[in-house]
Amino acid sequence: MENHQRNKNKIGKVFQENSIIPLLGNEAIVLGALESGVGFVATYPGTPASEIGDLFYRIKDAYRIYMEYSTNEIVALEAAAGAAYSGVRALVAMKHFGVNVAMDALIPIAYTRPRAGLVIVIVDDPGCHSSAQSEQDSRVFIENLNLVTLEPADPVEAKEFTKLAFKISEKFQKAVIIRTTTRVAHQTAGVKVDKIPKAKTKGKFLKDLKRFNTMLPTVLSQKRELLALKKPIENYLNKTELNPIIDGQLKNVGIIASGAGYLYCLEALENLNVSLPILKIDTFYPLPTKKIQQFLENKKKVLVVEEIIGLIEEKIKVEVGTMNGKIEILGKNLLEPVDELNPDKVTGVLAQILNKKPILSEAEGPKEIKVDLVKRTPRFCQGCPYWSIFSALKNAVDSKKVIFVGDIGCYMMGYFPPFELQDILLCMAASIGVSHGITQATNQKVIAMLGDSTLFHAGLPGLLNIVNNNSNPLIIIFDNGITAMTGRQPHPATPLKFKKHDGKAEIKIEKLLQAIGIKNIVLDPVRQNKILEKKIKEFISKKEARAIICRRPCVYIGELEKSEIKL
Amino acid sequence: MNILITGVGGQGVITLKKVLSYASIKEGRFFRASELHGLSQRGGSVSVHFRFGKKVNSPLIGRAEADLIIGLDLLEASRAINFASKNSIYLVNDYFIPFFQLSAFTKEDFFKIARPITKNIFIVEATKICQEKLKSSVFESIFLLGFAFSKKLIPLKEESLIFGIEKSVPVKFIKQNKEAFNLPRTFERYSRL
Repeated sequence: MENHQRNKNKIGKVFQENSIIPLLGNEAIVLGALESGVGFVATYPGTPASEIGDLFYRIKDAYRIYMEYSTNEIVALEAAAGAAYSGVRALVAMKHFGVNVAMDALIPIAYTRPRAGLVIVIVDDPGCHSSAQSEQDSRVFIENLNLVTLEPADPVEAKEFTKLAFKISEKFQKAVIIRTTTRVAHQTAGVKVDKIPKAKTKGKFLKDLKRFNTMLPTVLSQKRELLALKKPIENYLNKTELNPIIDGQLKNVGIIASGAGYLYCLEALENLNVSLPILKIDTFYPLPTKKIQQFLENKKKVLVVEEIIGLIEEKIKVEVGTMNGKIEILGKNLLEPVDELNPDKVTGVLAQILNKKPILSEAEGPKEIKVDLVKRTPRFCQGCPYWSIFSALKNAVDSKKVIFVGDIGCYMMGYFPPFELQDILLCMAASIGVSHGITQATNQKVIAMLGDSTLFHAGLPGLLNIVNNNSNPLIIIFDNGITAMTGRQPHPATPLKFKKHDGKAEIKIEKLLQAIGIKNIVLDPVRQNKILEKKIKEFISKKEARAIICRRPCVYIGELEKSEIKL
Repeated sequence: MNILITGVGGQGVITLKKVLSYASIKEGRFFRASELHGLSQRGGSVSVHFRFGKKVNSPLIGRAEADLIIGLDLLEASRAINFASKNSIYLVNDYFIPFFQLSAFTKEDFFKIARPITKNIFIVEATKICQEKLKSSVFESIFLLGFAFSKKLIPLKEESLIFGIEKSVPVKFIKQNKEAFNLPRTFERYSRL
């Protein structure tokens, strides 16, 4: 577990074969992929999926695999698909919102047949612990994909399911999805390290028109082939140990549960001192309908426990049915489809169904103590250059009159006191599109705030649109040289000295903006704070869009490079 | 056993999780942990649920089910009150990291919240002692672990915890962290804590 540079020539130094080490669910996915011989990894950082990319980044030299931080999730996915089409095992990882970005490529990719394993990892965040924009359930997209989707409940399964995903992907020549949630991704358990083979990183693209073109007239037959795979895949999965049924003493009440929800059910049963049969759903797609049918037989009530939306519950009602209403299928009528589940919620609902008191409430523990403690709102790190940008903005303009459109990144903290300079926040790079709309639809002054990594991720189309339609928001680029908020990962403009292991270029944002016709100036927000103030005043009254690139590196730039690998 | 560790980003909450994980592995005990650190590096709260024993189901501790709550910050320790019962032990650093909306939070503020629930409270000046004796507050989390061990609040062996420290902290700080771990015992012996 030494520094990766020292390990360059020794494969297998980070993970010791046969040892048991504590791993996060995210890290266990990395280990599972390495044990499967993954040769190509692409990702865009995003919590709660970030640790997958970060661990790959730090060990890629030691294991001689290709790994990149791509500019966004769709680029990452397309790159991984290209590698898998060329016969190199590939993995792509993204947070839930990344799936939205990647979706345009993901649906046609489902129609194609990779020549090596292609595994797509999606991490949802029930409870929005690290997700500003919404509580999204990415499983709703699976209906459109018809790709095998595995849902591990803990790190041990995260590793095993990743290995299985590569296997299934190669057997059926289809991409396979691993979907987890925060409590799986950020759950730690002891995981055994098995043999890590030498990865194959170079393949050969063999032409096959119908295999990789999703064109008319073949596209519908490709879709039919995809749908026809469901049966053989179901048969294959039935022969594995997936979707286990755990027996219980009570026979007429049962639980069907997935992901972390399954673990909470086990806990709840212990709390209630009762034994119920449980069917654990490991494969969200295809659902094990035969097993579900068997499980439902002779039951009166079945509780479905799953995070966020009641998708499994609805599917059971539609695909398996309620045996002419003989079985009561419960789920989201009792467990709200908002916020994450926990053992207490599941215990409460099970107690209600079974008409039982939890052992817990008989103890002298508190019911729920309402204490009014001030929440720690996140703040800028000590020495963060963004402090100075917000102070210049506050001093330069009348914040009651100017509209501030924010974006995703550390500068989101401008929403909180003492600044309160963020009127709108939606998603990656929305500041550009929304501020364009406001300037066209009003006579108000608008400031769009955009980070460097966010600009590369999705900002360029919006910027081109501003120029083409001649609107004039003032664009403030928060350029700290790194994708700071998710863990200081490098991006295309990160100075080369801070990204020894990623990327070969150092894109200049000023040149990029100049090339598309946006006049701009680069300022150090700390050293040139007064000039920054002056330029904000000057630029905001211009008839054309102007940009101020506030450039000063994050105080922690390069930290990911230097940090010791301690698993 | 259910241990809840709370604090603010940078205080060593995640490091304690690693130490306990390795110590559990060393003793062949089953464990599960869960951590929350959304925006922790920017001054947010961090918490770790750590559970070990023969069999552990949920990675999350249920309400009133924490056996030991280690609080690296008085406010964050107070926030964990719903995990405490009258049987819980609170081990809290006498320290508060202020932020924009709250400039002070004292141990009396903490007592007001915690004492109605449990009487088993240790308040230790971990930050202050580490600054004085080890010239840095970064060792405060390991100091508290050492304190918990010396008071027999954690049923893991010393050698396992030391193994955990070796596996979890940067190589160049192993020695000082071991000192921090041992400090509570010697401190108590010689200078009446």
